[in-house]
Amino acid sequence: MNLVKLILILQTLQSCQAYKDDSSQTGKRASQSDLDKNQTEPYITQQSNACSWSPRILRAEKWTSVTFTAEYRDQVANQICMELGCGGVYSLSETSAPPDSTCLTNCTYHEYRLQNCSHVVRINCSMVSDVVCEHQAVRLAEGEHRCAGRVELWREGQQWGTVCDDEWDLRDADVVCAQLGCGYALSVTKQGGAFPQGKDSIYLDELNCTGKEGNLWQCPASREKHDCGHKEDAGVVCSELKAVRLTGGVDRCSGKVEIHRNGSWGTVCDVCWGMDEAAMVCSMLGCGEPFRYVAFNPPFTHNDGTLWYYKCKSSHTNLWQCEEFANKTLWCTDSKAAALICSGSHGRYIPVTTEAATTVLSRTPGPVTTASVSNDGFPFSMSLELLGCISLSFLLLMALVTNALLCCHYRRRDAVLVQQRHAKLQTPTEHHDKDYRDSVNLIKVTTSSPTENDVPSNPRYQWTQSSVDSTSVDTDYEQWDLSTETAVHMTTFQNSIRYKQDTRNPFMRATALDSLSEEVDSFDSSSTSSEECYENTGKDVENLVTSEGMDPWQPPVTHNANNHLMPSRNPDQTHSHDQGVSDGKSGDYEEEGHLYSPDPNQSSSEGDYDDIANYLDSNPEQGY
Amino acid sequence: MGLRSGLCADQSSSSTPISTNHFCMDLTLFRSTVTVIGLYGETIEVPCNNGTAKPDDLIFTKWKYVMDDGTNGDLLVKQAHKEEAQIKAMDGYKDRVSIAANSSLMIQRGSLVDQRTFTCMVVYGSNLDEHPVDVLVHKKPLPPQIKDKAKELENSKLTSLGVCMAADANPAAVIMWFKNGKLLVADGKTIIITPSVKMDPSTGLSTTTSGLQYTAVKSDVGAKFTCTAKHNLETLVSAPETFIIHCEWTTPPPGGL
Repeated sequence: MNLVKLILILQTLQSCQAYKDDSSQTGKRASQSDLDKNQTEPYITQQSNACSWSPRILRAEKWTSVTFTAEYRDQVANQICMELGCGGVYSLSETSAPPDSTCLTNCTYHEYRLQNCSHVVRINCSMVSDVVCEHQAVRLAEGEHRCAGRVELWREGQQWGTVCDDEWDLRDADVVCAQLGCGYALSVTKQGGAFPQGKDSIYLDELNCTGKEGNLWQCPASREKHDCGHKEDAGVVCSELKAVRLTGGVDRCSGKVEIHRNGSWGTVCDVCWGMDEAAMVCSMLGCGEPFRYVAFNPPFTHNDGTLWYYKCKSSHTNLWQCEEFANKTLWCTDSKAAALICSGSHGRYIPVTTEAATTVLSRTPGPVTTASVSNDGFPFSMSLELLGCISLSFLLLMALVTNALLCCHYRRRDAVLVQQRHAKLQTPTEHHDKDYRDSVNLIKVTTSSPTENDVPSNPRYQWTQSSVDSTSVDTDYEQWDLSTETAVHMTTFQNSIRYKQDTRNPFMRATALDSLSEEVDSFDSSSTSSEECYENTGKDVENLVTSEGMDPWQPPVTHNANNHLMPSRNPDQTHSHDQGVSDGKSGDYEEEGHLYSPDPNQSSSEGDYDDIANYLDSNPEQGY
Repeated sequence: MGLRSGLCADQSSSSTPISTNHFCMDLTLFRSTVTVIGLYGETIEVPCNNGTAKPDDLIFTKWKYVMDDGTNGDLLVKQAHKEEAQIKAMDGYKDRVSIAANSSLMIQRGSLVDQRTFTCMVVYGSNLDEHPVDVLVHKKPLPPQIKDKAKELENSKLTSLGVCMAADANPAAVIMWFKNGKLLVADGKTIIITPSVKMDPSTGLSTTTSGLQYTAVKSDVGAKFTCTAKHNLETLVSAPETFIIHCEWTTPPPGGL
């Protein structure tokens, strides 16, 4: 019995040993033909994201990338992605294998393992380290950061496409944010949202994710049929969105620096804030160069939010490249909030009380290129538009002045004539000439105008003087009644004609004006009142001056009429009055007529003016 | 507040070189403040923590100062990972301050407005230290000059010999009169000294003047009068002056006048 047991034991031992020999022999064989066949097979390991994986093989006790032949690489990657239900291949990371490496090809994929691979030696094999399948590819487009934007998915052939916003909610968006490592979804954007619409395909609609899926393709959704347009492209803002903004300034290019994270905006400790950081933020915001980034008075205070501290190197171009620290209260001891004014800001920022400090407010704009921390100045350069506006305003002013002077000149003359008219109510028209002469003579007596050229200007002066004095204006109005209107028109015509005659020569006009201005000063009328004169004429002057064939003298007369009205009227009214009749020369005459009527707002009839024009044209020559 | 060590209070003057700063330990009840004396018109070096080496885990060094209204203002911040310091001052210090390699604050063109407390704040690891320094700015006076010299002194008559002026000093210089190297002490009768100090409000510098009224005696013929301006930085001596002493003779001198 014992012998039998002994024999049995010996036999089992032998068989064991044989078995061991056998296996060791196999092992030896394996190691001998190491180049031909690997000890283990490649495994497919999945990343935390469902649809990205890495092939790994154990080599010298280390898991490394798997070497495939160039042709087989794409094939196997595609196959595995498909098997995983992740669509095709989006991208794979690989390095070139050294030539004459042993490469795998023609494997059979079964449950995360590649089996029965052939080993061949090739020159241009590829060592694949990671593969991302189609469904895992997602991006947020057209946001200022990778963690915000329009959701886009990828598909072979059609490339990037969008997602429709029907049923698009935070749970769906959470999936995207998690995929991108951007935290969780803060808000979703739908139609009319912050992100512009996409184009090409729309891949998914009516998503109904739980929020735990690895990618959007794993959510229940409508794939093929959708009723969406690109207006309804879905977007999302994730919590890890890195955003910076400037608040409290006059525009988005100036203010306190605020950093967004997790849905709230924190401030930056000014201890870490310098030229480099300021330049980064200004360029990130598209606001040009930093104009001022230190020494704000009064200084800015921190919010209740996170305190940010940045360690930036001069090589950094973007704030997010810097080392970022949150809530380092010790470092931020008695620091203020960093703020910034970029050159793109158009306005003043904060009142500066320190005299020596850079005062953005009080100085006139200086050239931006010379601006530095210590430079005072307004943070914008003179744009072309501004220069254009200034030059136009200047021209307008000049025209106004010219017009008013002429206006006053005419008015004075007319005023005298009006007074004459009033005195001789029934004077027949044929005596007009005489009257004119008389009035002229009177004028000559009353004023000291040496030359004939100046004679017409005298009544003007008187007119101006009386026009300045509102009481005299009123009396003028009272004296006249409507019945004499036509007569008055005639006289004014003649006046104008004569005046026109004399002053057709622009040179003469100039001299008349010159003398005018000199004599104006001699009157009691203040300069402001004569300016009032000018203001009124401004609009119409331009219109009239620019219109063709216009007798340049006509407008001043009209405007004088307006000016005459001015002292007793609301300037607004007068302006509207101007506008009402600023259509052409005819309008001016009508206003002139209104001069003599108590109702200055009487609407003008074009007919009168046409008559006047005709009269003028037909009777160009009339001497004084 | 607190005690002042005797060494600071009255510094002996004569041969101290001009260029060094003077350190004093001012023991207060609550903390020790270092006092630094800078020279007017020169660059004032304000040391940080007495020039101790910077810690390894330094984050940044910040200099701040007490402004005229008593509040703190920032001057500059030097971050450890950056080459250049960032100037934070917005007033007159903007163009005058810089930081040395050993974290000392350098103030150019020192004047009396810089007489205030500057604090060096060092943040390293999880620590924050502050080292305040009181700064004084001294200026030695211009060489004293005797003005309004008497034309002549009359024997036994109290006359104004002259006015000695030591201008633009901080602190104000003390003027002493010497005759033939011997200090003249006012006794109210034969020697009367009237000092006065006037401060220029724009610079803060003080000008000391001292008038000497002296009763000459016969033996004072040819005596050399000098005035010295005593200052902690340096004591300066004026050029010696001699005066004609006019003697009143009771009897005509031999040989006629």
